[in-house]
Amino acid sequence: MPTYKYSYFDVRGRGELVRYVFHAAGRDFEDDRVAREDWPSRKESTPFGQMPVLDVDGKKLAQSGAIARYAAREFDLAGKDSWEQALVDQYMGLVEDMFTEIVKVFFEKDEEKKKELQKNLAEVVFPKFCGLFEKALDQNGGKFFVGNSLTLADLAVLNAFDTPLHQHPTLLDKFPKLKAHRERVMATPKLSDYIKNRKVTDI
Amino acid sequence: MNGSKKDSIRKYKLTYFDIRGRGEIPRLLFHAAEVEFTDDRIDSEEKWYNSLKAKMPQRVLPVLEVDGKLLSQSLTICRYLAREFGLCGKTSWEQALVEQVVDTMDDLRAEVAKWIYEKDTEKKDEIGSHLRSEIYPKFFGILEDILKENEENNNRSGYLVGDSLTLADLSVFETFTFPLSIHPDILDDHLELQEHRKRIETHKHLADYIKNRPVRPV
Repeated sequence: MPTYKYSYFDVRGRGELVRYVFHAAGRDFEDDRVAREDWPSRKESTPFGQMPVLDVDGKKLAQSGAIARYAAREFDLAGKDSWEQALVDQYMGLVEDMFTEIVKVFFEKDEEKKKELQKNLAEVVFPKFCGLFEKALDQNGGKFFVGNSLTLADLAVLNAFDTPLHQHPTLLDKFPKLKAHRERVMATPKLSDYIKNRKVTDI
Repeated sequence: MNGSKKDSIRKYKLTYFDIRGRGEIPRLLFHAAEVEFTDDRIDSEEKWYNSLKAKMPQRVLPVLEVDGKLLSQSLTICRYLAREFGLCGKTSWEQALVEQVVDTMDDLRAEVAKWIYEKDTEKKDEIGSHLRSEIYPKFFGILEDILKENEENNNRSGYLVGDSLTLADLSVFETFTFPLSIHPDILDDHLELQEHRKRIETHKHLADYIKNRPVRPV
């Protein structure tokens, strides 16, 4: 049995999805949360000077997406064949596209422009992506994004809406399948314990 | 998967704009594996907006059609084709190492895209300088470390993962194409990266395509 150590900051950010994978799969791992002050001294020991990093029996892997997909493959949460893996991957890509739009708003310094972008996010961007996710669920029978059981795709979409729902709590109200999906995934046994007990962070 | 041009069992069609952009790495994968495909290049904006866009699952390109089934997301398409063609590493761990490189190159692409999209000439110059002084060196360093580590693991292949060409090498090759067109000297002090680039350019399955592919600004 490999020993896993997963290093990231003590926030959700780009690190939470992999934590979801480990918890949903019921796999042990060291959830190494690095304090900001300690980062400069830890940076050297990472492959690319960034986190998250997954250490598997001493071998290191960087890039949150590569780590998530690797862990999902190891724990049978990646789709049952190459095509399903691609479908799972596709939804991760869509999540990433939505995240890119959110980040643009986050980093906008001009107050006027920021307000415009926030309005656009709420009125155009989120409805567009929610609509695509809703349709995808509908086309796959309504319960999961790929196949008949939980995959990385479901965890990625759950994770994608964690922060947006803080600021827009009614975001999913017009998308019943997506809302039900969220509740279903959050109820996954070990994952739901983790989510209930984790520290609440802004990002 | 047997990659013979004559007996390709599956029907592949790649639909993308008539630029390199996010479609070129999938094209390189088909050529590297010698697998036939329809290289469906959309050169009319009108055709895209008025008829095609609504038909695409995520309303974006590229889209890969495999025996009638559609797949979106350029990196998903890359990873899928690479797996099918045996160009994604030989084990799950090697696959992760390949993906690590591909995701890193996508980060570089995103940095360079800031220069492409900036309209203000002063800001554009600033971004250009930042690319040269901070961004390129950071990514060159990462790649040189990977090449060195792969060398040390006794592979001595000159490829980024394992002992043969993978999607990782193609993504590095293609991600540098645009930067080299605006900053032709950036690899001058990076001999290993120059050699790596040459290795891809002269690869027996890629040389013809790379030499003769349509010249596009991006």
